[in-house]
Amino acid sequence: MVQNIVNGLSLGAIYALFAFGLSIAWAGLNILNLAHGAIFMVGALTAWLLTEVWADVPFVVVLPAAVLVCAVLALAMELLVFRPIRHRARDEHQQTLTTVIATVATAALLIAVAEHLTGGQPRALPQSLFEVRTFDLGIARITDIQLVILALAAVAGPALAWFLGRSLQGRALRALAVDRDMARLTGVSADRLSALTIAVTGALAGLAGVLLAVQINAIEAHMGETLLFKAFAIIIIAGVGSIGATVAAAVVLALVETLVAAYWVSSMRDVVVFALIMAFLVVRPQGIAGRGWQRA
Amino acid sequence: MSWFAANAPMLRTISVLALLGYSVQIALRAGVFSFATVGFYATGGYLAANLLKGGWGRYPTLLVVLVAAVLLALLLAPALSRLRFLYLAMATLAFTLFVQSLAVSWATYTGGAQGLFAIPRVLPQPEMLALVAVVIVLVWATQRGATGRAITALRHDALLSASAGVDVARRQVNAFVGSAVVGALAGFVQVSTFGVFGPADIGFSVVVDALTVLVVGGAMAWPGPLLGAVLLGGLPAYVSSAGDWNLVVQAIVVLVLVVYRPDGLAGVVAQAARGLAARRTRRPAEVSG
Amino acid sequence: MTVLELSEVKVHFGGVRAVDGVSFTVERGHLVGMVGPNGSGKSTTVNAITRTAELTAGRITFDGQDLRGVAPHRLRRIGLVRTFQGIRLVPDLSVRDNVRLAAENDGTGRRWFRRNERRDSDPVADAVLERLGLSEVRAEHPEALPYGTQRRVEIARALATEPTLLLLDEPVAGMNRAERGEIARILAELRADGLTMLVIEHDLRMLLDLSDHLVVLDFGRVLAEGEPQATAARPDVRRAYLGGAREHA
Repeated sequence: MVQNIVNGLSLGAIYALFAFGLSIAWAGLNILNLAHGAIFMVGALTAWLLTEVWADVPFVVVLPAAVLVCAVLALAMELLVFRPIRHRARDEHQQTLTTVIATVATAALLIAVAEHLTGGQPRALPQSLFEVRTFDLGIARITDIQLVILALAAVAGPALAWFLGRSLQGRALRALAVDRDMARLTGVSADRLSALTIAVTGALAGLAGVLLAVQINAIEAHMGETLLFKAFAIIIIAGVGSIGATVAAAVVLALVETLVAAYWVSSMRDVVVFALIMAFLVVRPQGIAGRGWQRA
Repeated sequence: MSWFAANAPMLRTISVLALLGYSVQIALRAGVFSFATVGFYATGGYLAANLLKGGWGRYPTLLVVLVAAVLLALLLAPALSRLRFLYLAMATLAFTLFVQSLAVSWATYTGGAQGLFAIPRVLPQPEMLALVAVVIVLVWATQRGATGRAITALRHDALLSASAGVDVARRQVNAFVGSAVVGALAGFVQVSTFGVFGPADIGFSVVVDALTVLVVGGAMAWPGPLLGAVLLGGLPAYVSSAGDWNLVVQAIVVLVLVVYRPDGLAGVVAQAARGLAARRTRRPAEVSG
Repeated sequence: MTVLELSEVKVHFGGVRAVDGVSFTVERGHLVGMVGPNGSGKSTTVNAITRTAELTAGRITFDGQDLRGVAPHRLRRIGLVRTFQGIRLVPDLSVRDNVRLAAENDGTGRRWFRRNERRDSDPVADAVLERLGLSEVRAEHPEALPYGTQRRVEIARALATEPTLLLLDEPVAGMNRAERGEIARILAELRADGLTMLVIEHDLRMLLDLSDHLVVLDFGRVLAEGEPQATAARPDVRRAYLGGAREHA
């Protein structure tokens, strides 16, 4: 039982890292990034590709490389897709809608390319990449990768919360979310801030991707899709824009999943996830910890 | 008439894609960010499949499917009406995926993950095309005159429209219901012409297809979904496919269009027409850089 | 004959008392000006009247009818119409269509497939366009027009509803002198025709010429009201205005 909780916690940490990016993009930039799952997948894919090309590549290289690739990919989305749409949009609603559709197309593109690269088969990382050492704590076992995951999440969470709450850029982002024109008047560069923010969300997605790839060792083109909608459930329940609540919701969801899978049949899992999303949106769209700083 | 017979599968695909596109357009034109189309497509399709397999005739089935769609939409509307833009998009997307996951689980009526087979293909081609034509005419009719103006205004600026006397809430509910009805109709057509229906047909990829149709054809103008459907459904049959890279090409095309030509084909055509008209009426003295 | 009456109106959000006990009336055929420095509660009062902000206390009566619970889109039907602080016109519609929009949507709601009851809406719209000198630009789209003309279109749109009270929210904000003169002239003509108006403005000088009655707000309350020249000359009004918006040259 405790073992399941340990597993659930580390899974929850990955979910949280992934969900952060989604949350910030929605809250700060009004972008419903349906390509976030695909970027996550690219992180995992990059790790795999690196090991294909360079058999002895150390993990300490793979991880930052994948994160970097994803950050750049996200930045490319900002420069080639989000920014042109922003500059050409006639009104905000059209901009928001067009952006959503563009992220859908981007996701489709990335997934299609990935299908080619993986030949449609699930791929695995070589065992040599990460020697999984298990520590026996008596009541449960924990692997070093799980420790790494937990550590990274424990660092990333507060760092993001600090960034949003205290740093100059974070405050600027919140100002941007509330009133774009006003923020611009006070000197906030919407373009630069958007670029920085999107790159960060990409990096987080990539990080989560590599970590999950090591954890479950199955990499395939569609691996981001289900996670994407779970992440939506998480951020909607938590309240878009709230880091702390996102962590809590992510951990709870992961724990429920792990326990249900261990003790029950989980064929209704997806039904429950989507029903939860709808229910929360209807009853309490601002989520449990709904922040006032994100836009309608 | 042999061209129609020879290209029957393509015409079926185009018809369903067009109906899906119109379903989304009806909602989006009124400023309702609803992606629930595929959810209604699914419920309409499964309902029709069960009735047809139970021996019902096609028009009674159609009637039940449409009425059920109206009821379901009216049931959902109050819950959704408080949501705006991204939240509504998310909720309707969740609805669609909820229906899909329910379809996988609720095997008695939906055939589970395999789906349903051997559904009586009782809708002849002329009637199928007629149904599509009816929808096109109705959509065209709501885009002109006073209704068209009211909807265009409310899409841009709900506050302004309300002050001008437009009943924003009522019109948006109407749009949502209309979108649901056309979506369910698409499900009916799919089921009664292809004879198969399963979870693979009602998931996110179909949402992507519907959006592709709109982006390529033009999201706001009435010819848009038709143009998009013809292209998406028709082109692959004529152009030798680039193999598996089809999806990549399709995605790139959509991406480029949505950024640089969000009005789609219909917009390009309209712009060209305006350009032609301006050139013709411009007096010599005014022709300048 | 009182067209609009505010009685001890209060609008509080959270800890903010935006409007804290405002009372005044607008009589038929009058042009009432409402002024006040930034933050005095002018906009919130307008929002309360047009039902986009809920009253915390007090009552607003229009043409004898309590506005409590009236949905915003029904205001047009009972004859209360407004223009907005920033010009709000539909870019995808021509000038004529923008005006027709208001003429033909009477706020009753139509059933599907039933014909528009107000078949005379097109002539009404065209007449208003003519009246405001907009017939020549009727086929143009708003973004192509100068700012002053756009404001005129907005006023035309409001007039096309044949209102009992026209509420103008800072109609000359951001305009140069010539444009202000243009709008002032139109308002004077409308006043001469007997239209009842409530004009919220920073431009005190323009209101002094135009209005029959002046209401000065400060800190969510009515600081002073009465005959325009006399009211504007009061020391407490002058004091409230120093540091607030000055009349532009």
